[in-house]
Amino acid sequence: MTASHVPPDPSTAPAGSGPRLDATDRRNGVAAGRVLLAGALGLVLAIVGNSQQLLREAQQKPFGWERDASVAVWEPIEGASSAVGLHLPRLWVDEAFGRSVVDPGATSDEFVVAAEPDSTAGATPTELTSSELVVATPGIEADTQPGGTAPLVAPGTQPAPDDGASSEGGTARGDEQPVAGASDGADNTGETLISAPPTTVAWFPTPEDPLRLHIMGDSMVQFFGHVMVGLADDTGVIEASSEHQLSSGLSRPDFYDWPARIVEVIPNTDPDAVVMMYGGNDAQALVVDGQIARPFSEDWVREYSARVGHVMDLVTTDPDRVLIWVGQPIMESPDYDERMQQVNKVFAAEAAKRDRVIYVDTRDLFRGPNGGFSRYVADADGQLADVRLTDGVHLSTVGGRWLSQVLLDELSGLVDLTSGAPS
Amino acid sequence: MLFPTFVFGVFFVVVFVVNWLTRPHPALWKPLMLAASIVFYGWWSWRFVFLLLTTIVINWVAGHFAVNSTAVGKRWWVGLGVTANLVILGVFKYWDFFAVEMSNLLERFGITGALPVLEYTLPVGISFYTFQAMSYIIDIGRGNVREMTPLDFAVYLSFFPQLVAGPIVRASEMAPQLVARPDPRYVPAAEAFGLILNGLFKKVVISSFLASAIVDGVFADPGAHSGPEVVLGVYAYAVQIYADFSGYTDIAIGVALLLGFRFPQNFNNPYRALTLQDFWRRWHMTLSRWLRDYLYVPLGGNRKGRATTYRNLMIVMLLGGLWHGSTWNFVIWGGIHGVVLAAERLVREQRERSGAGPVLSPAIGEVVRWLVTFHVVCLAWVFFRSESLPAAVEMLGAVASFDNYAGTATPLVIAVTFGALAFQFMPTDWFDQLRDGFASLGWVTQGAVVGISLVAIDVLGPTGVAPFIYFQF
Repeated sequence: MTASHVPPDPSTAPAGSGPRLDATDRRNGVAAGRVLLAGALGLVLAIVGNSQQLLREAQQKPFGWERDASVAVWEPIEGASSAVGLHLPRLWVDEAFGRSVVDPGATSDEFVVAAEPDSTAGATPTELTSSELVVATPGIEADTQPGGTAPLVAPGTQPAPDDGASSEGGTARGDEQPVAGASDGADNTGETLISAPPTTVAWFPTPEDPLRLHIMGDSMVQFFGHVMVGLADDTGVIEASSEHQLSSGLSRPDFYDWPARIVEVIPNTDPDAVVMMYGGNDAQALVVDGQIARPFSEDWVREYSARVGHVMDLVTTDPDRVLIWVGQPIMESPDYDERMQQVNKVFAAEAAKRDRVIYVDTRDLFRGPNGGFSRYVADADGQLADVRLTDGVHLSTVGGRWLSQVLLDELSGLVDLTSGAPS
Repeated sequence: MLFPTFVFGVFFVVVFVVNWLTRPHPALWKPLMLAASIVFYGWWSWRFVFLLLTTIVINWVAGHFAVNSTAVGKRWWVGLGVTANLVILGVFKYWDFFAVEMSNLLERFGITGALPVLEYTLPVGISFYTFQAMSYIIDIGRGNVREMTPLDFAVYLSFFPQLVAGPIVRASEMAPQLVARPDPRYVPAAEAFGLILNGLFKKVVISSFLASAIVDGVFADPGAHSGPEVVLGVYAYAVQIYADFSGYTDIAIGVALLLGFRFPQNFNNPYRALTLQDFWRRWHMTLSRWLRDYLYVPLGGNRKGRATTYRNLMIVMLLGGLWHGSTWNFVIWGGIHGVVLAAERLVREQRERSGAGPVLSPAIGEVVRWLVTFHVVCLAWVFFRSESLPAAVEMLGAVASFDNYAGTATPLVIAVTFGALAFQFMPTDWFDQLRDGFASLGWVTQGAVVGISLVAIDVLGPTGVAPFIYFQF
């Protein structure tokens, strides 16, 4: 795995000396033109052999001129490659490795929300596909929760918050929620706003009958999911799991189909609570009725709201399940932050329409001393903690712990999580 | 711009053609090569192109005045140049670490908001090109290198194959190659293609596989894994970071060879080292010799007594740790290496003084020394990879657990990890044999081999390309 050429020891070599092309290179060297031919041939073969994958990657780019240009380049190459069968070796290898093989031509730009009110709770992946997914309305009949545990939440009507970001009426837990940071002690002046809290019922999860929690989302979950799983496990009464898909979201089901995944995983794991965090990759154009909808246009908001609501409904089809939807935190890039505020509005509004969906606004939790984005936020002791990664987007482990604690506090407002604590 | 991407492939074909067409005309070739490097760097962020250009201007000016000054003036200009480089590095890389630690300390005494946190984005490759610039300034002061023309210096410092992640090429190695005119009839293509394909395989297949299969999961949540899995995860990280960094280096050296430049070697099977001193002769060799020649030796090296030698070793390794990043984890990583290097030296000197023979048979002694060296390196990697000090401590604590088997220790992970380690002990002439075999092929067959290899690497690797680990340094 290592080249064998050894340069002269620079500490003993005279000034101006050093490794350079030498007589050996002359013996083994070939003309630059021949190198160009061999290299170009190699690149062409690599392109032709990988044409399906390259076309697929082009199709997965955000809608716009760059995607159009990429697709325009790769489509004829993929067509020619497929026509003569040069794509087959890669296909065979992919199949041999058990990888999913997707025909680029079959990739759908459309996210289909069908109105079929069929039960999804017991569906298996083979029974439902993303194009057959249903929008479950809040009042839909659903399977009763197996296992005989008491429901986590009691269905009830919650008044919609004014702006979808704070609660009025109900148990008003948004007002009661301690300042974000909780045990790690975020010393922020703002509050983490909670919308539409469900009615609390008495249920005491125990180690024998734990609360099942599943966390899903994009790369944000990669950075805090494992922390939350660890903190949840520490309660002794929560059985937590986490999954994420990098670069995914609800805008591009052709890249990763979260609704299909939800239909696959939720009925099988039957969690009592689900935490979801999406949106970081969603501020991009959507295809609506075959037309491109620019981000945050009227059509875009309508379509994206439908998708968010659809996912919320899929999770809360079981009336005993609660969904905690985590809003995007404040971001370093002002433009990106503005876009994340827009998707947060959609989340808050859709959560407010549903009585088993809790929206958690995280912007104030990670607000820096200057009121804007900062990697370093003071905790309760006034000590600056590095809560964000250097990319200005994702959470550090400390930031993940802060967020996880807020979410666990939210859960503890619904059920008593203390029975697993060591006496 | 990342090496293992289609965009770079197209970029390099263009640069390759322009390079060999214009090389006989330096007045044309140098501006074009500078432009190519700026495009390569600017592809990531145009803002930091200006920082790179500023570094070029500052160092060339300081070098120019140093060359044309008296002995005293020369020292001043060299000092000024080195200071300017350290200030740039300090502002972008170290200030926030210092400010946060100081602010937290002062806050305990009731002083708040004492130091501002700048939160600048860390420019890719700043540690590499700043160290190259400092080597030029210091070598100018020592008379080890002649003054370069502004254009030559700009091409040297910005040369895209080594700009963002090394190897750290010295001016004394690059300057003669900028002046020379390599014969376009003798491009060492077999060696270059071999290095590039080898590097791509290590990065795209080995590094990416181990990262996703075990390393990321174990380091993210060690408590959810059993002790043996945590240990395997650390071994796998040792392989991953080697495959990632040496993979980049191989590609960089191969790309430079195709353009008519030979870079120094940066890795030489580091995990076959039997001592930590040996490890540092094999790992990131261009950084090791930089630290040796520009820090260890000027501090006095091993010429001023044992205590000073140990102190110098610790200083060099602690600063070597800080070179990687401004966190306590990197300081501890360097500290572990420094302490063990000093301990090795102490034991060796005591044994030499006492005249004691080996305790173990040579074969068993080698195995023991290899095991100790490898595990010291792995222990240090735990701090290097962990996001924070508590996370590293949690990793070490999880080693003793035999619960929570998470199923990450698959046969494939075990085979790749230990296979890659075993590969370090293989004779190195296999590369020469492959190179010679490839060189004997016709260009059509060579092209087919390259094409099939690229497809195979893409098939075996995951979708998308993660940035190289050393880009962050």
